[in-house]
Amino acid sequence: MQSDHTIDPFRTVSVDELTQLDPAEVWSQYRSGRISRRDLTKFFGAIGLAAMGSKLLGGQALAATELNAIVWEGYTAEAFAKKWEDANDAKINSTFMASSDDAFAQLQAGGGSNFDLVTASNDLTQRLVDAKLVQEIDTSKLSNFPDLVEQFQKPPYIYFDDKLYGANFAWGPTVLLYNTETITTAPTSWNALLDEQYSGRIATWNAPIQIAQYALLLDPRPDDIYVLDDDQLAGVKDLLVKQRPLIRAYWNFGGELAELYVNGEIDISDAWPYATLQAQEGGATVAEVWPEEGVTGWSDSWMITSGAQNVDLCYSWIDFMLGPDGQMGVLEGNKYAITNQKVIDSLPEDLRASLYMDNIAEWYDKILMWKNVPNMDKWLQVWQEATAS
Amino acid sequence: MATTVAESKLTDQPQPGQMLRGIALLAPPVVWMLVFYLIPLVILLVYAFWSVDYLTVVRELTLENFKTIVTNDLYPRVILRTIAIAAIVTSIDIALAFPIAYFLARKVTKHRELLLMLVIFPLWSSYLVRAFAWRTILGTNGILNSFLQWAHITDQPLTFLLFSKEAMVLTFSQVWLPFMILPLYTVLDQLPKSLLEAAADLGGNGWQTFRRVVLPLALPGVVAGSLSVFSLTMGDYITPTLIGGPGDQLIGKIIADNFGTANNWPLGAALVFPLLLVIFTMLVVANRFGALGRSSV
Repeated sequence: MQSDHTIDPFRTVSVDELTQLDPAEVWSQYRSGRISRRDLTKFFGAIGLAAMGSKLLGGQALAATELNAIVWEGYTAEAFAKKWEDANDAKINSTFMASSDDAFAQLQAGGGSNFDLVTASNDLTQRLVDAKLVQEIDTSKLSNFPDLVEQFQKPPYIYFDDKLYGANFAWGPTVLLYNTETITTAPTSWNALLDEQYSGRIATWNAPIQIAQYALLLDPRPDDIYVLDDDQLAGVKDLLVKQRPLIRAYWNFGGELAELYVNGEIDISDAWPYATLQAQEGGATVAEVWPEEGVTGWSDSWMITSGAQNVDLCYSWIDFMLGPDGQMGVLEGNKYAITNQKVIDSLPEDLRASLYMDNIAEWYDKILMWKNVPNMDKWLQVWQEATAS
Repeated sequence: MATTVAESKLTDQPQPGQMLRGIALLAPPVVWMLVFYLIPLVILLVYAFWSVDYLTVVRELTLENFKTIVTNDLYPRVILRTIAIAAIVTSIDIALAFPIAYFLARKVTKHRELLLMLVIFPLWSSYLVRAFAWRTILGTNGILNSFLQWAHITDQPLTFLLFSKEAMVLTFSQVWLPFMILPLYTVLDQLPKSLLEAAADLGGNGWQTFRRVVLPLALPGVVAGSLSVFSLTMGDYITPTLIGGPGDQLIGKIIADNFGTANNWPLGAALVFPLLLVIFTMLVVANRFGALGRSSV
């Protein structure tokens, strides 16, 4: 990089070029006569404000090379993040969020300026936009953006009023998983999770967002499973109350679900593909089904907060995460499906298929991606009344 | 300074220097408690009287949250279940810890420190790991079921061993046991031997000595241990989530989800009130038994 900035003494120097240089170097070039006094004045005029600001704020000089991100654990793993840190002589500090609401609360507490970046799931994205805690994304600053699968470039959960607010980098469906040894005919409907013949062998994810999945079974089916009226919520509650005596366990995280299959506790459940892979690695004979009613799905996006200190560095990081190193890092570390078509094309076919990246257009059509549930407090109450009362 | 001097003269109490030293010693913990405990607690309790509208907390006083807690039978039911489970776990731990503590304090002469270390040892491992260990032991194909089938005691795995109230109580009892043993050990260790000899001289048998001498003197330890075990159980939501059966949720999980999933801090804060009430009542009772002040031993 240094050689690009050495200055030809016989050529006039633009201020743009000068600002790339260290002030000390500019000064020495002026002393040796290679920079005119006028250019020097321009240079200090250009950097003046920034320089003064950094003097006043003290820590700014350091902050220029550091990013603070609030993320799901694993999204800034040392294994791949180090490559970006070394290349940019920068550092990314991460705070792990416990849930979407945890991230929302933390960002709101700081008015969007206590973090530069957030990895938001699609149940959180709209809330961050509504609360003006994140800023619009300029895709021209992301060299890897054109390589993203079309469906993930401007999906509705990060695209509001013709403005894009996030870079979608990971996703996955919530599918139906069953033990092929004990259940010999593949189930075709989510009704299997309410089927008495599997009593005591059923598990379901312990999260109120799952109300949307069970809303798929309502007759008539709601137009939007994420916006339910009181009757529809009561209908889902009836299903869940009916289901509870059949449940062996409510699972809380993917690794725990895999363990339930490996230890022979359950035969059927909703599941995430990465948990399926874990269960299979543990020796469980399980297979996935996409029920005829459709499936729900999650998707994570990098968003830049409204108060981000160093927006350029944020773009640099996001671009890295959309590129081969970041995408492979997320895939290998978390076993989540990724969004960069070029990287997907480079994967072995069985891995591509196991995470539904083989024919995304077709799979994507069957996924009802999560979105903001405006009355989540009510959903939680219904979920708790059905599962804990 | 003037007042300190005046006070010390008035009361004929410690010199100003000592006084200052006392304040200096007390200040850090007092400030710590104030800033990191009392103030956050008050803020939390204030939230209970607010409400939430989509993304913003509406800072207008309302009793709506308390109305919800009283009228929706979910909350009273879960709170009562929580208190019942906590009471059962506490009783089991008293029954288990008393003989262990008595043995350690009165019978063991050699390797007492080593045995005490063994009591504390489980606390060195992550709580989550211990809860998961119970899943391995109690599971359908777990250690216990495998043994029962191997020994031909059962011919089918017992499924109620895991994901049930019983499993939850068992796990809690094991996990919190050291918190009961240690205060009991402390009081029993201080029990003067002469009192036991006196009881024997007066013709008291083992049971009478226990009931009329040992137990009353050990009561502060029992109460202190019970306070710990009871409140630890009442606030926990990991064991009910991982070990409890479907529907066996305790109030901790309900509160955590209101903060962490529904962004409904006001309702979550309001649910803290009944718990504080229970704990406060226990503290008042405990105080009467001398478990909080200098014990009567």
